[in-house]
Amino acid sequence: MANSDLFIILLAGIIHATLQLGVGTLLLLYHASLGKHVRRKTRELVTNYILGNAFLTLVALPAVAFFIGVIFQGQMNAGMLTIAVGVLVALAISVWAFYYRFGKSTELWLPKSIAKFINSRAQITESKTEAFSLGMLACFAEAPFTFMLIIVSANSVVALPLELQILMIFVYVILSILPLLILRVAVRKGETVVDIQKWRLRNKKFLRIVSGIGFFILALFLLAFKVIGAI
Amino acid sequence: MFRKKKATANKKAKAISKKAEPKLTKAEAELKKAKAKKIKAEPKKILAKTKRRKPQAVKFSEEALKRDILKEAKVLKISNETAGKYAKIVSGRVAAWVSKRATVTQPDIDVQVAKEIKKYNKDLAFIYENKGKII
Repeated sequence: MANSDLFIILLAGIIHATLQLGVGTLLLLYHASLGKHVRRKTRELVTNYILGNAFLTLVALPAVAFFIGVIFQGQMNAGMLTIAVGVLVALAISVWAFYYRFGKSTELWLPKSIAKFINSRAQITESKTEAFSLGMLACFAEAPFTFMLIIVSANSVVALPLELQILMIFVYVILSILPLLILRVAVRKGETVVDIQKWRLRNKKFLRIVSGIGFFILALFLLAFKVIGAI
Repeated sequence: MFRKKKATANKKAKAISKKAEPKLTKAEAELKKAKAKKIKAEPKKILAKTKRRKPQAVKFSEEALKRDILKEAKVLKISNETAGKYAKIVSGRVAAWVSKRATVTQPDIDVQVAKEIKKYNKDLAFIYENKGKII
């Protein structure tokens, strides 16, 4: 069922895009860099940050697809997909319940020590390599919410013909970094860090609801087309 | 029977290790004894089950605060002249506030700076209100 696989990858990519850690960290990087570097250097750091973020997803997705192909000799069986459905529903509830901390801020579920570490790394990022690794760090720190999206997408990638596999991997990666690209364009057009943060604060609830609903719809879709449909 | 065997084995091991140890001079032996006494004298530290976070006191510097305000103003594309005026007034007022207190923490300073700077620029105040609250 190629159409359902394509839809799963697209939906998983969109849900990945609604998660906020990458955007928040990029905002921190902008804030730290605009205050001390020239614009050209800030642009270079941001580019490398986005590349780092994309790189980890670009490496993780085919790797997981390979392991699924080797272990299951094709796609995952109905039992494993049922577990995936359960985990997605749990993630949907988690996003609604505690993705954002309580209070009038965009503080996330991360332990304070990790948030402080990411903050301090963003403050002292001076080179392109550091920006690249900060991007990878932000992507990795979001793993508790993105790992199931990558597994489910990888499972769908395995079912596709080779040309579509490569294309859909790139589509997923581009979808996942789309908010970072939009943020970069917004800052280039003249938006300040404060405007963007105010936007995030105003739309915090909306983003949380959309994320949760996305996880839920993906779970239902998997259940309908891959678990019950396969039986 | 096992206990006796263990005890004899331990004695033998101790005897072997004593033989293998190089002979110490008088001074070295006395140092060793003194160290052993010190270790015995130290009370056993009982680890607390819960860890308490101690707020870190910060050495307030008016100049550092001025530089910080100028840096934040640069992020918001505020002109150097205007930012300089804000920095001078706000850092003076915050310094006066800090002088009345024995200890202050960084969040306390940020809140006070936000309060003072809000009278002049709301965006700059927003930055200080939301420090450490982005992620």
